[in-house]
Amino acid sequence: MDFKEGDAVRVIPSAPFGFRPGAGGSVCGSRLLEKETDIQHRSEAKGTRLYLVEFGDGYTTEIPDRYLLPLE
Amino acid sequence: MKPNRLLLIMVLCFFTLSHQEAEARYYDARAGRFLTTDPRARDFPGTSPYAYTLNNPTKYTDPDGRMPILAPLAGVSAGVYIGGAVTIAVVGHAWSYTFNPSYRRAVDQGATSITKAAGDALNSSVQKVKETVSSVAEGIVKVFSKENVPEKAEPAAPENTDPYRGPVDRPVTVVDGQGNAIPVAKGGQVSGSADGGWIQVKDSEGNPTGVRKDGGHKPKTHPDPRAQEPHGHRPDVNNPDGTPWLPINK
Repeated sequence: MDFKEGDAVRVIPSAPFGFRPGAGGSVCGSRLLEKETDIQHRSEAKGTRLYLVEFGDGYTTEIPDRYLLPLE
Repeated sequence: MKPNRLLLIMVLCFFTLSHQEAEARYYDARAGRFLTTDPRARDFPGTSPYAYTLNNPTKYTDPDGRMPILAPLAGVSAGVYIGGAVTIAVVGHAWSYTFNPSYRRAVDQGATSITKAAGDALNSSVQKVKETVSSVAEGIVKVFSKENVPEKAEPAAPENTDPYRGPVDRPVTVVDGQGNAIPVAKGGQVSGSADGGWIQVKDSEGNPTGVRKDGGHKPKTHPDPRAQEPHGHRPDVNNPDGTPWLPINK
């Protein structure tokens, strides 16, 4: 699913703990995972889209798109 | 008669003439006198038999020692003498070539040898010329060949100062429509929304640096009003209450 800056999203409950499963946040940016070092470090497939999500307390992290849902 | 055979006969004539015996007396150039008496001394009773040209060398000459003659006539005499001798020699050799089979055979063999030698020399010269021309041509080809032509240096990539195109070659500052200045370090790049409301600074690997301009979050995710307005972010820079939504021009 594609998101754009400013979209409200929710992290799916099954996401890793570091991604704050179940929490809502706002998309601030995105990028495609292409660097080999990033792929190995994150254990993600090449071409995965990462969204920079900021939560209500100001904490920010990059979350793979498969862990995000639109916040209704 | 073929030219090469005529040439050979002319050469033989030359050798014939060069061996003519013409001197009647020996002449001492240092003393200006003959060393022996004039065989025709009786014809010149008032003069020494050893004298040269009646002791008047500017007027007379005496090429054979027999009799002084006027100098201008000596040239004519010599011309007639040489011309006659040449004519006799040529006619004699031509006669021999025509009527003497062995002489003709010898001349033909000599002419063949001369022709062959001349042909060999000519072929050798032509071969040398060909080799020289070939060498020069090869040199020219080498000079202008691709190997010897200095390769053009790859044009240097133009300096990138647009962080939206990729990593910049030197530090730049992005200024949005509201006058907010966003520093981008060397190697950094920028991405953002099409309307310019959201700007994110990344490093050369594409990782977020933490420097951002956000366009404002929704109340359902961000209850703080400062987060709902456009704001900025800088690592380790917070508001006095510890919140990260920094005020910017709106």
